[in-house]
Amino acid sequence: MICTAVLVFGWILVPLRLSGISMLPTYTDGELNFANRAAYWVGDPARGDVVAIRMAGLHAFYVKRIIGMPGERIEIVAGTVTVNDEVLIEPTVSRRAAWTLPPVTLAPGEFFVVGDNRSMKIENHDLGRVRRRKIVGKLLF
Amino acid sequence: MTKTLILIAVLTMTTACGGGEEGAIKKQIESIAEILSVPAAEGELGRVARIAALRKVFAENLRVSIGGSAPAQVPPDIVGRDAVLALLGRWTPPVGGFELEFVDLQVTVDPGGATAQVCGTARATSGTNDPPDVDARELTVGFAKIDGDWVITSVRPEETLTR
Repeated sequence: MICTAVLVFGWILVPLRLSGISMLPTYTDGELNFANRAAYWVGDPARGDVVAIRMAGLHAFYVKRIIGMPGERIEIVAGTVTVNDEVLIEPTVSRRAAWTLPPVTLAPGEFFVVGDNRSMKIENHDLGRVRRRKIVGKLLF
Repeated sequence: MTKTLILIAVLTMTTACGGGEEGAIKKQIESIAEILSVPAAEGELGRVARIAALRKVFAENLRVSIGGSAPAQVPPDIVGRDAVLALLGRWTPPVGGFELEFVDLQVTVDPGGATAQVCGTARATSGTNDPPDVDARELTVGFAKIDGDWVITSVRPEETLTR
């Protein structure tokens, strides 16, 4: 029983408590969740996945949604995201401020991540390119 | 079956406690944080002792990158142990002291065992305010094993997300 718990919570499911408002309305501040490492043992992260991204240390993570895949060109114009010049449909985003982000072309092994809360100022929102090795797992719920 | 369970438990404990070189590096970085922490009203002797202690844990070719957040009077890259120590020597700690700690550390020893990278958060608490001022930065610290001791070869800020 203990070994199973160590195996599951040590290597497969990483417990997380979400802090902040950048993933509203999908996830609220203080919510509990798990990052499922096993989700990417076989396949790679996909667009739309909500992922835990490792910061410098072991126990602090960003939780963001993947909107751009390696090699793609991402741009945000007046709050609308385009991928390779085509508008990205984002059903999880309810309100959008007029964000503007110059075009970014992702390198191999790079993903573009952003939170679902686009009503806040872009200056206050952490978003951007992240290396594949920083992605720990997909959120379980 | 019992032996297998014991083996798994021992391996888990060893991993959790950070055995071998990882443990030595963590211990070293903790002692560096202690050296860099300055008590309130430190005297000249304390400052000199601190600089002397740091000389032993910095590699001669140390490179410290501060990046875009560097104050105007500090270059974004400081190269060489003497240059770093000179800068630290000129630094005036805040009234009320300065406490540095490295938290949430992830140590990766390179396959050859001669170099290592430590990723983590440097958290500085200072000032006389209540609560005190707290500043936290994500860092990657490079180590090399020289004459049996782990010394710092590089310090650079870590940007997880880049626009």
